[in-house]
Amino acid sequence: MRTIFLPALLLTSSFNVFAHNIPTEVGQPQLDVSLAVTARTDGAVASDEYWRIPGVMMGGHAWPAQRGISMDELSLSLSYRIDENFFAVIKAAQHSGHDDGPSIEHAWIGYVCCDSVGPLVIEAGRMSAAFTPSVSEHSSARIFSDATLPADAFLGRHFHDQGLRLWRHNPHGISFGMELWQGEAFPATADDNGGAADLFASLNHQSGRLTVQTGVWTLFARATERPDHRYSDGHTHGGIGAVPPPDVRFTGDSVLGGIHALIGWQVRSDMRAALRMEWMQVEADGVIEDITRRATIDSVYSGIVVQPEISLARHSFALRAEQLLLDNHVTGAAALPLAQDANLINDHNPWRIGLGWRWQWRDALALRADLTRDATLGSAENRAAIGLVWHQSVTRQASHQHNP
Amino acid sequence: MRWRLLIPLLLPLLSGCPESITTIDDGGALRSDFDWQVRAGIPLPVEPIDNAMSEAKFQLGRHLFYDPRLSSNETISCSSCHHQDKAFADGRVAPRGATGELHPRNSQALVNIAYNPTLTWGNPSLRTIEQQIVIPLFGETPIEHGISDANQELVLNRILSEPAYAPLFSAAFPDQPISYDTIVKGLASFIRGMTSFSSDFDRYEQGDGNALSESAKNGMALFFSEQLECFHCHGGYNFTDSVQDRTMFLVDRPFHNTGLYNIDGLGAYPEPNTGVHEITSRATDMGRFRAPSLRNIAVTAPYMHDGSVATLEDAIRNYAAAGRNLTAGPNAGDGRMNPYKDGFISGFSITDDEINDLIAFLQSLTDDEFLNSERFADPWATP
Repeated sequence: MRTIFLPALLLTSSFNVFAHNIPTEVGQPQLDVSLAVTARTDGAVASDEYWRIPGVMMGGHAWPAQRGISMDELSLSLSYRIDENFFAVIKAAQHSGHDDGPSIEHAWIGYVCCDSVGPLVIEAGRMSAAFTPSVSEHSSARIFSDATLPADAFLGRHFHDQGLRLWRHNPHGISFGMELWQGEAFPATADDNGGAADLFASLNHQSGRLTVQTGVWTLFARATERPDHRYSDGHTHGGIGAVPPPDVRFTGDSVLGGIHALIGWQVRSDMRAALRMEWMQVEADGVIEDITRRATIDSVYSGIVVQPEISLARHSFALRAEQLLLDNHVTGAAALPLAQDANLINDHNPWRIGLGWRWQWRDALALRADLTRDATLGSAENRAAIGLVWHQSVTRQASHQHNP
Repeated sequence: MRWRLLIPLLLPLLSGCPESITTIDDGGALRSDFDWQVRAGIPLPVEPIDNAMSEAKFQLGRHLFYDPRLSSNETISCSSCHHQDKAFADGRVAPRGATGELHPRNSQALVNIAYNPTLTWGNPSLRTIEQQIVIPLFGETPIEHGISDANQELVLNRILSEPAYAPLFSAAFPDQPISYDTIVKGLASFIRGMTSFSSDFDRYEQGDGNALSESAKNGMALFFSEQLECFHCHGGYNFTDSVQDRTMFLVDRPFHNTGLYNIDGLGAYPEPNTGVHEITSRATDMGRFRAPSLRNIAVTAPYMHDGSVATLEDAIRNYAAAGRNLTAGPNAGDGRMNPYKDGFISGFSITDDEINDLIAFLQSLTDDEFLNSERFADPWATP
């Protein structure tokens, strides 16, 4: 039985690279390099426009897909098991949309007790959140070149921050833990009143042909005068031409929650069917304001991703459907102009649907393509993408990669 | 559409999903009994609690505004120094009052005054039109309308004796006697109701791409550029940083020294026009005046608080030079070196063509409808 599953699992999980890993061999550094380059027939918006989904205040690293050739990801990660209990990870990366060049996404130290990977793990430093795989996965790890819509809209795509993680780690059962964050990652802000914290629990289970990875999480984030960091340069010039959008900021609390699941079924030795799902909800209460105006806002958002996929030998095919439901209630004398400036006026559910294909040509090199019907901004537009993904473990050693 | 059919196939949970919605509760901020005649996207001005706007008050104020009987010797009315065809400025360096006394300041245009958080050129404490109107009516330095304790009854009787006023006052202020209080409130209502948002620029903002010439578009780009910095003091829907409306919770009342004078080398402006300094006596307030709205600016020459700049081109060249250097005359001095000058008056290089473009943009702020509207015209005039 094992001989049937293992090759297939290796194939199907070869592009399922999670950002979190615990190096296990003492004194053996592990170096991973990832590169994802994509050519698209069109972008999510025109090159001189701003990607702001009507009905939600976005931020973080949710840059739009760009027309033409773009480097979606370039990352270099070094993991090192210092001794029996301690390990360290550092990672530099650059993603499309950034003007600032590469940045240090990870620099943390972990303590493991009492086995090589647990059950108790304490980590501190700059790292990706573990509460959902959506915020830590990278472009090179997906069939689709675009990140998921709920992660972009509600979590700013990536969640890197300085923080502390304490968790019970069971790679073959139930894991759970908590994370405390300084607040640099959207939707929080890092200030005296800002910050974020989350709780998560996950289950990894395998039984015969069935594999299940599922989890539940909740995140509390507090923000003070949070701008859209993607497009905010400190001041605005008044809505003329390609100037930044109005600088409307959010102050308040966001409570998010979600569930995610990856259910796989080994159809035969070289064929596997799987269903990925994620649902998340956001409740945000606070005020939106600019220099002179203020209004209170109560928001309830939800988003869902459903992705059935099938892997046949080195080819994977997936269909991905995503939709957001965005409700806002804005109150105050400045409610209308601020809602307009913040791009909150909306009466439709943004949705996106895509067909994806990925061919793992070599262990480290893959070709992928996708077709996307994108209705996040109202009218539906089509675009196609084709790209190359290179993921190489330069110095291979044993490590445990975990899907929280 | 066929694409969308895939969604309920894939997402049965969403097939009955309601549509997203954003609801707005502005507490009535967009409602008014008065027709403000402002275009979409422009917030309404604040109405004083003790003088809510009405069309009856507006029409009463319009009659009073154009009535010279509201002066000591029946020689001037408000309209003597505020001409509609000049956006209610008067085209002179400085106006003269009923007794011939010269006012030290240039007559301001009366455009969107309802949005001003302060009135006159440089008085941070003067915050309502009702407060301001008392000054030209009763002020003594200088004398404008010349109404005083000695003649106020005479002037009021002139108003009372005009048959047209009885129904106007009755409609505007039912059950209230005709008094200077209701006269001031009527005048304030007319001035407050003078709104101007129908320029070529407004049409361009509303989507008419042909409303602006190419030159004006170039000028607009310059105006909103970091190179010229114009928008910092003349930005927003009313083209001034001194603005208030119903949507604001924080009202700023900025004043700026633009480096026009420096007569003692220490930053002094010629007396008595020293700006906010006249009120506070603080040296740092020397030469600080309110940035006026640039709407209709092309028809309100001469410019600045004392009318000492004749043309828009001169004004632009002063800003390009980071201030004005007067080499002769009683007010000689290098304003560029004024220590109290605003940080945005830092100078810039600009070509003659760019100046023409900038002027074309400023001309696009002219609202011909406002300048010619019967609604703001003299009701006493014989057609």
